[in-house]
Amino acid sequence: MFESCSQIRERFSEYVDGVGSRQAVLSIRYHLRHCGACEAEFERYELMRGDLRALPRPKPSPLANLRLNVALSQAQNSNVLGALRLRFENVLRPLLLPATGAVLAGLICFGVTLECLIVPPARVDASTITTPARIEILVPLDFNTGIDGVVLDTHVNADGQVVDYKVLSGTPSPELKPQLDRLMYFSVFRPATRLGQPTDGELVLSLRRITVRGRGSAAHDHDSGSPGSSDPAERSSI
Amino acid sequence: MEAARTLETAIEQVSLQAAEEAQLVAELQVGSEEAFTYVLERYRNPIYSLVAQILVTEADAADVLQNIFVKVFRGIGQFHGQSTLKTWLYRIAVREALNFRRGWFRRHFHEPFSIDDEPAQPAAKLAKAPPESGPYETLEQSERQQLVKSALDALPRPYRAVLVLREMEEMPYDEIADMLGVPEGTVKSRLMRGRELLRRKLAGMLGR
Repeated sequence: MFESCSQIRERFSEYVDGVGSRQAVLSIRYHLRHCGACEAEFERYELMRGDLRALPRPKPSPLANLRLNVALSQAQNSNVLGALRLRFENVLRPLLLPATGAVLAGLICFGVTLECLIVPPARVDASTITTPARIEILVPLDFNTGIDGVVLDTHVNADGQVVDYKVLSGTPSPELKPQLDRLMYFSVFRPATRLGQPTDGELVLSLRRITVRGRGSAAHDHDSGSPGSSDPAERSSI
Repeated sequence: MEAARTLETAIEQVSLQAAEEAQLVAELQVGSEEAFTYVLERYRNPIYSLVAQILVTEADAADVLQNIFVKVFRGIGQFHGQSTLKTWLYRIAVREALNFRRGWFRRHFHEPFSIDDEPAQPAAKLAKAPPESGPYETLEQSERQQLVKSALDALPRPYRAVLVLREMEEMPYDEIADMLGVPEGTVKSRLMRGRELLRRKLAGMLGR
């Protein structure tokens, strides 16, 4: 087999890989032995292959390795719920500490502010909660009470009616009882209150009739320890 | 007699490797994290090297490396052992590299790199050179490799892929054909054409 140099050089690729037919290999080997130009060309061919094989093998950088690991981790959690959960966790995790701090700071501020803003409950005096029974209108006294007057202990119910009374001091007389009954019946009482609600209560009345000479009229005085009503003709106090 | 014994030992080793690989694949298919970590550690660097040679840019190679192992992770259930695990992995790698297209953002965006990562190339080569070779030889070798690399990178991607698989990975024609999905004749012609193109480019660069 006699081939030209160009034909031989075209077969270098098969020759170096050893994939040509036996006849072709023998032909090339024979040609190279007797052709200096082709032999030099073949040497450059082999040198090129050597250079190719000697090329350094690049290795992935640490960043590329990290990205690969992250991508594989994401692939492992590739179901929709898993991916959402992972994304949610990744978003929330960096915020967790600041958010906790913010909540705590908010709570502390709220507590401090609240303490300043709260109005302390007013101390309610028991006396303002409970009011005693009082007399509103006392009918004029038209009976003699004696010099020392008459002191009564009355029991006023929640409706403002005197349900019972007891004479504590005074001159007893047979006419006094109906007079006092009439007085209790026609007088107007205000019931005692507790926490704003009317309730039963006790009321002590001190009745004394005062007669003022020269005017031809009598004055009744009723005293219960508080300023009572006054009249130019009569004065009575409870 | 000796040759027969050697052949017998070789066959035993091959069958042992096949059994080990079958077990590894079975573990991968049931989702063993340990098995996947082993595969990752064993094949990450060679596959990255292959992809980086085909793609030229290492940033692209890092992207493709991710895609490859994610595909391997998701597609290991479809591996039925018609080829070796390595061939299957390399097939995925080569196809991913050949099909890789840079997006607009990637074409216009250059990743920042740290000057602390690697020293300058010639200086690094000098630092890593064996003590018996002089600095001049080391520098010449380094420059030569850079020229060869740039000539290789200038080749069209199909020729470059075949050359890398044959010359650097030392794979047989049939495996290359299987990986690329082309007939062996195409591999042979691409290899011949690729070598010729590379030789011409190097002749122009080196003046030989």
